Amino acid sequence: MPKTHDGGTASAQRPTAAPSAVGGGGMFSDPVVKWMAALISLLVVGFLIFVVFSLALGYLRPAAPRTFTEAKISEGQSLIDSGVIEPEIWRNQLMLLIDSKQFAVAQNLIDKGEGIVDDSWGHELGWMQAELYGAQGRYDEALVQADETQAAIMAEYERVLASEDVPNRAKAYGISENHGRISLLKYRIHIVLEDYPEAQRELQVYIDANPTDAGILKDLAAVKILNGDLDGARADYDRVLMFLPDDPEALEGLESIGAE
Amino acid sequence: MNDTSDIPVAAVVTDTRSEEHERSRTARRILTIVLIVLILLLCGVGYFLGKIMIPQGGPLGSRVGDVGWIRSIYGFGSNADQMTTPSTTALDPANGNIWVADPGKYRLVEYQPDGSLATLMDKSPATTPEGHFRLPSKIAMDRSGLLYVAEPTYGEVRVFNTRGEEQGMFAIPSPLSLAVSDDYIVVGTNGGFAITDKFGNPLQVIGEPGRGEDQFDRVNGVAIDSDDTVYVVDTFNNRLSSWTIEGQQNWIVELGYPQNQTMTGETSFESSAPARLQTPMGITVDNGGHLVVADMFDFSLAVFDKSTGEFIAKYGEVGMDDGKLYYPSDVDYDPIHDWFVVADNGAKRVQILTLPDSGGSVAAKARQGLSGPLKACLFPLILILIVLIVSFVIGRLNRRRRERAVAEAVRQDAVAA
Repeated sequence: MPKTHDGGTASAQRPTAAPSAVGGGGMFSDPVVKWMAALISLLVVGFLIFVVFSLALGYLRPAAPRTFTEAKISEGQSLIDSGVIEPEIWRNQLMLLIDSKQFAVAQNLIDKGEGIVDDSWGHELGWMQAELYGAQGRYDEALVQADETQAAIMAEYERVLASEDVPNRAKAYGISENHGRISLLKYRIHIVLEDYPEAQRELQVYIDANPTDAGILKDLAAVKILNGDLDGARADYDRVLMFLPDDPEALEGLESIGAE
Repeated sequence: MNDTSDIPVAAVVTDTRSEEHERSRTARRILTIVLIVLILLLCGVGYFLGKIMIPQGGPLGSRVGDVGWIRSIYGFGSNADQMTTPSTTALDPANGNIWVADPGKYRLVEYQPDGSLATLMDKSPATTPEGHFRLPSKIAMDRSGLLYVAEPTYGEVRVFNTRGEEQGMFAIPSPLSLAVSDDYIVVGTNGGFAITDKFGNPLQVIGEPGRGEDQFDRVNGVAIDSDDTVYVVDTFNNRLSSWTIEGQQNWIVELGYPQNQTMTGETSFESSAPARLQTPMGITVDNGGHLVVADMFDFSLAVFDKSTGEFIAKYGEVGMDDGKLYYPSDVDYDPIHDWFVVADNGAKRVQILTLPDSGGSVAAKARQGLSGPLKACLFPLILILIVLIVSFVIGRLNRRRRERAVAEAVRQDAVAA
């Protein structure tokens, strides 16, 4: 056994304490490593406890509606669950779901409603499908769906008009209002897509069916300005002022195109 | 095979140390990555949990103008248990729990401040053929946990414990509003108000029906301050007044054009009253020295100086959206959480709202913050804190023990030398 400097043996002087002092505890002898490991464990445990508490306190699955929207959705859902198949109730429910961005739930409801709800007159579900695509930013699909739904509404209108039904709904009420509503959806999508001529065309379709809707007339005038049709815009603003004298938006619009 | 016995001791120690150092560095690197990934993961999961916890359709930033929206309560459980006519509220002075009268369902319902159900007191004709609720106009709760229910159709103020057991009653014609303190009960009626002791024995009876200065036309709101000052809302005369408990008037102010004069062919509804209220109903006293009055047809909460009756401000926007008001019929201030509980009757809900300068303490603000989903974070945070403190203390103790052991070894070496 080799001698050491002070005459002892190497084995006697070999630092038997070294493994525990330097690395006997493995990497966990490093205090930083130890603290980091502890922190990770604490975060995981803390998070799990948070989830358990949230579940126990009902925050992750609230038992009752917490806002007006949730209350209306809950009310509509209980009507639908009780077997109500009125298209308007389904449409209102879908509109609430789309407005509150519950897209998956809305899609499920549309799928569920097909075949149950007889909405052949207004095609509420088709319209809502187009609205849902629009809200999700799926504009191409929304426009295709909107066109199909409008065509279906027109076909149903013509079918009823030609029929001998008494009373004849088509003769009494004209085309379903949903046709115009879908035109407004298409207008909004074309505005987002910056396709102003198409946006104007859709608004014109709506206005032809609803010539006294002053609010939409203002939108039509604004789109005509974007398309460079200042005379058309002036005429629309003038019509708005016939319905709403001194309407500030209309006056502002006229001023913006240099008209009195 | 190498014979390590030939390696000098210093080299062995250095090698071992550098090996350990390398291992530590690797471990630190790995743990740093794990920690970053974990934090990112927790942030992501936390974001989605937050999305679930934050209700759909609440006001943007939880504010509508200067009104802060804490939460709305529409009922509990399924749709069948949503409220139909939440006409009046009372707060439990002990914990801020919210009692709501829902006459449409013959119920009093107690909610916790987080909106969850605490107690259901069902007094419908089916469950209580004798003495079921008819149309409670106002409820109030005292410190001992007794619930006072004004029933105009019975001409009674009924007293219940929180288990729904009737503890007594006293008769008073057409009790429209109610306030209780430790020693007194104030009851507003068609033509004035009465101050009674806690057993309903009248101490003061003030007013008579009419439009004159000392007359009243439906007292739909009364409140008692901590110094026993009584505040009275005279709805159809559109007045607010302050009284001592002995029945002396401190002040009286006009709130707007008297509604009882619009029914008699008057054509001018102008009023010089700055508040311009229409149908003042419930009243409460906050911690900031204010009276807050709920106006049903003005869709507002109006604030007045409680020492003078001077109008300070008016809050609220009309609407069914949360944070707005829709035919509010009652208001109560909760000093524990520094918020106002409004019976928003037209929207079939109770709203918890905050108003500026309500004088809440820091502790009340903290309780306000912890009354919602944040409460779920409280226990994990406390746990982490306890673990950290315990680890720190144990670490310190171990270090001290090691230092003592080293000192002892040095001392023994010195003795041996």
